[in-house]
Amino acid sequence: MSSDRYELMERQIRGILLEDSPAGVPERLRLRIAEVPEAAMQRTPGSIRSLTWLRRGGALAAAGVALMALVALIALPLLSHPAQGMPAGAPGVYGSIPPYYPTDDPNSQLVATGHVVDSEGRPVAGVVLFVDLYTAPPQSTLCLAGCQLVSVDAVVSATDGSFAVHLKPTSAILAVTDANSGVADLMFGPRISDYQFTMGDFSLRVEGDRFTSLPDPITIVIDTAHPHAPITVPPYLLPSPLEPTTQPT
Amino acid sequence: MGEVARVRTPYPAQSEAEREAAFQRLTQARLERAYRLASILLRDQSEAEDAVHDAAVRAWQRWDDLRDQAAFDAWFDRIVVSCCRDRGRRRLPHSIDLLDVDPAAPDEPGHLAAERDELRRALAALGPDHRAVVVLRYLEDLSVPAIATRTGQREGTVKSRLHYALRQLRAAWDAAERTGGSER
Repeated sequence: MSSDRYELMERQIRGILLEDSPAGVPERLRLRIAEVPEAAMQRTPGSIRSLTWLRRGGALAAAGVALMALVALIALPLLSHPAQGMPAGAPGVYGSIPPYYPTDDPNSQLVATGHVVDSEGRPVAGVVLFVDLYTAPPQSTLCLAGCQLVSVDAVVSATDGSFAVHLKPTSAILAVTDANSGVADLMFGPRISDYQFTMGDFSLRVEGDRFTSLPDPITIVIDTAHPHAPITVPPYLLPSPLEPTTQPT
Repeated sequence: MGEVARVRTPYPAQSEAEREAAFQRLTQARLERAYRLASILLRDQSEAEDAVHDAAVRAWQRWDDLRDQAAFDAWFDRIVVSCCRDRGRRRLPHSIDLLDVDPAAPDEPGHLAAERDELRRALAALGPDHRAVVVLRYLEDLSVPAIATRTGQREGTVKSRLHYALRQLRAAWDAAERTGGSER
């Protein structure tokens, strides 16, 4: 593309964005903004503080629900496939999550491995990473009717901070967020042809409906100044280490 | 990707009235641009109103974090972008109505109008993060470092997203030219 034509395209982009811009601000919004401090002051400082605690309580409750889902996600498939999976009910914590975890779906594809560390670089165990999977028509470049959320998965960082994320073949979009409200915040794009996503040190390339290469390991840094402390998962809820599979003879 | 712990330094104490006056002055002055940014990012004006309101509430709650009021615009923009991202995620991703394309300006030549329509579709099809960098670059005329400040991303990430987004837009633009050229 010639530079003149490229400049024309840039001018068109500006023009489209300006055309799509609203003219002015609705008076209703100005009034809502003007009421913000007053609305906050109607609460006492104590109640504002307690709201923070309420939020923390909410986050903990959400984490509890996520843990239940995690247990269901991990335990149930393993119970139904004991030979492939982890021994049910075995105590202990992973020293390191192996790349083939989880093993409930032999067709799932490893798309991300990484470590969770705190801001001083120390491994953080027991951080729940939520993984949302969406469907999309194969080879489709757009979800015209919206992408349907099919599954919510979660992985937990191991004692050395490691984790692994798998994507099932029917999935199109993968979003990973940590339980600490957005410090670790990865959004992988739709599964479309020739798609490339890069974020910091992380890179994901998709060709057709296949991942052509595995991404580099992700490092998720947990902000230790964040008001929500990393969620510590009781060891008995963590997946137990994989043991060499012994097939019944 | 992640943020490291920041050390807070003491800031001059303000009375409640001073804080509120400063908040109102700065927020109302920025409101039009913030609303425009949110409208373009979310492509929905009522969602944009809510996102800007969310941002104002969040800004007021964190007002004491803003130690330099000269940095308000970038600070508030970053909150707006973050609120838009939160709202965008709650909606189904990439639910794009391709029929929602405005007709081209009547005085535009036909082939240019077709290219413009294709460009508009391609802009609408960009993912939220890629769309955000394009909007900040071309609507707000911001540099890469300024976009990085507002999105909380590294400059390399911003460059990469901008590169990817422009590649998509160029592809649409070129395809429209080829189609138009074959029809002409």
